[in-house]
Amino acid sequence: MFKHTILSLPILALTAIAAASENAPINGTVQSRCIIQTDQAGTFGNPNAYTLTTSPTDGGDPAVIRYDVTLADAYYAQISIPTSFSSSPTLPDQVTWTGDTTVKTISDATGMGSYETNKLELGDVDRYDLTATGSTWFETTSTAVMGGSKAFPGGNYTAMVTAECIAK
Amino acid sequence: MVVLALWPGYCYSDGIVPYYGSTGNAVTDQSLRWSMDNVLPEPPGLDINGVIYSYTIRKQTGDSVDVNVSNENVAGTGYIFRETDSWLPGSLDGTQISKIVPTLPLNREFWGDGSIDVEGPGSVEDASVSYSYKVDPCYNPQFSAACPGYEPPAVDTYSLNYEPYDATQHADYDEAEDRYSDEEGESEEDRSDRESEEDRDRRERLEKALAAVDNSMLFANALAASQALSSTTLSLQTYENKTIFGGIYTDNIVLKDSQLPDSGLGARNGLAQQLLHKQMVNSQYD
Amino acid sequence: MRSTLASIAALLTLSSFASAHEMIPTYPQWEQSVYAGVQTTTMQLFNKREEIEYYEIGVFDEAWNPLRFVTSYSVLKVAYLEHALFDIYMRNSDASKAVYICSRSKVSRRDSVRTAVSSRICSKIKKEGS
Repeated sequence: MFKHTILSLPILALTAIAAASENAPINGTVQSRCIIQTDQAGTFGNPNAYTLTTSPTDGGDPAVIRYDVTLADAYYAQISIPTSFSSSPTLPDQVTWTGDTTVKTISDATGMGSYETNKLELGDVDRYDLTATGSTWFETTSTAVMGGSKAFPGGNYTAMVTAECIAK
Repeated sequence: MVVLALWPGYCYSDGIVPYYGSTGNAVTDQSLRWSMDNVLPEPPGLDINGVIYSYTIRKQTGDSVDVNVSNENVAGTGYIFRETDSWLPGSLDGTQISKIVPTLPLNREFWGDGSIDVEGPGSVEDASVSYSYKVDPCYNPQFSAACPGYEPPAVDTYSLNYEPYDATQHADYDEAEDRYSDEEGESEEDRSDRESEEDRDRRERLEKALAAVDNSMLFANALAASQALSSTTLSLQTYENKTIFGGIYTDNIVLKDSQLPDSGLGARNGLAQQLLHKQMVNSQYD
Repeated sequence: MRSTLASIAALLTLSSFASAHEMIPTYPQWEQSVYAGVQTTTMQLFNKREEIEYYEIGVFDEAWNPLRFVTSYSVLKVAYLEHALFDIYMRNSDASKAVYICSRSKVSRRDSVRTAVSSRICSKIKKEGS
């Protein structure tokens, strides 16, 4: 066993030296792309028994979503505010939803300065035409009010913000 | 040895490698002006390769405002860096901007004071400007012996800080001078006499000193011998005197001279032997 | 080119909380598959959202009506920091109506985050002559 080992090791050494001289290419392509990143998922504050809100003054945090676009005028962003809880305890009444999406931060003043002004509000969905390359941060706020001023039962509540990037 | 043969070739350099970093916020007050010396770290081999800034615009929706983030050119006129954000009509008040602007790596010596200037009816809030950089420690080759172009330093020459000592200010100078001046006035003959006398005195003193040394050595040796002797000597007692009572011992038996007859028994034995001897001798002859 | 590089540099360094979803190509093209009467295209999905493990694939027409298609899994499992390649197969008749190919993150119910962000990226199929 030992003898075989002694004989094979020099061959391995030669092989290893030969392998060390090869090149290992790293391939990649650069394509136009739209990347959606969640900078901040958002949390609900509970300022009173019948209200859940993402307002920072009430102990909540709004959701912040970042869009990175590498090709100008090729995408538009659609962001939907929550209209229901995706998970919650059994609710005693109907919930009224309000919210809004706004441009919080941009990386190009000239190209993106008018995003907020030019956005389309389609009900619960705000659409932005991403005409410039770079990064845009959108902030979405949401407020849920229980009907009849009834209290929200104890438990976990989750509401969904949908961020879409759609090619033109 | 086999393991070493298999060990992959691994080149490890002990050289000094460059490193990267970024500064903190250069904007420290509402003046929106800063000096780069207050912002950049110390190393001279520092090249700035990017500017990162952000702020919130304050304007009316219908107004047009330009915001310039810039650094002056130390080596000439104009700017070494200038980025302009044009906030067109339609852009809303309270919008934030966050940008990274890469630049060609330029040494810190070219970067002058920085500023944010607003052109038009508007202002900025919560401004933040920081610089990304790369530092080459071997910008000064003398930083380390591992740097290319390093030259070993020459031997240090020391400059002595000392105050000249004026012997004439010494307290005993006057006395010594008097003595010396007295010696200068004596004649040649007197000097030789004096020197001879001084030699004699020196020899005498030396002899006395040596004698004292010899004496002390002799005393020490004698003392040591005495001590050695006393440590080894035993107390011996002399022999006791013994008296031995002697006298004369006379013989008790005295033989009187007379004739002693021959023993008949002896004669018979002798004769027999004689006869036997004679027979033996005759037996040899026919 | 420099502005693209600058924006790419910005993309790489500005993110404070890297939780991203991306899908390429932006403009896929149908190709004839090995099966007669079936078109195919290949998409690549990259998951940089640590809290998301599954993505749902969908194909839609101009009016956002869902269309029938075949892929390996309609709900793909893509682990954090993984790329996933998937093929879409459609009959020629449906392929001609398809406009968008979308991937949508599936947020797990067990997540305790109170508001969750569901991201959807849609690529637009390149028509011949466009």
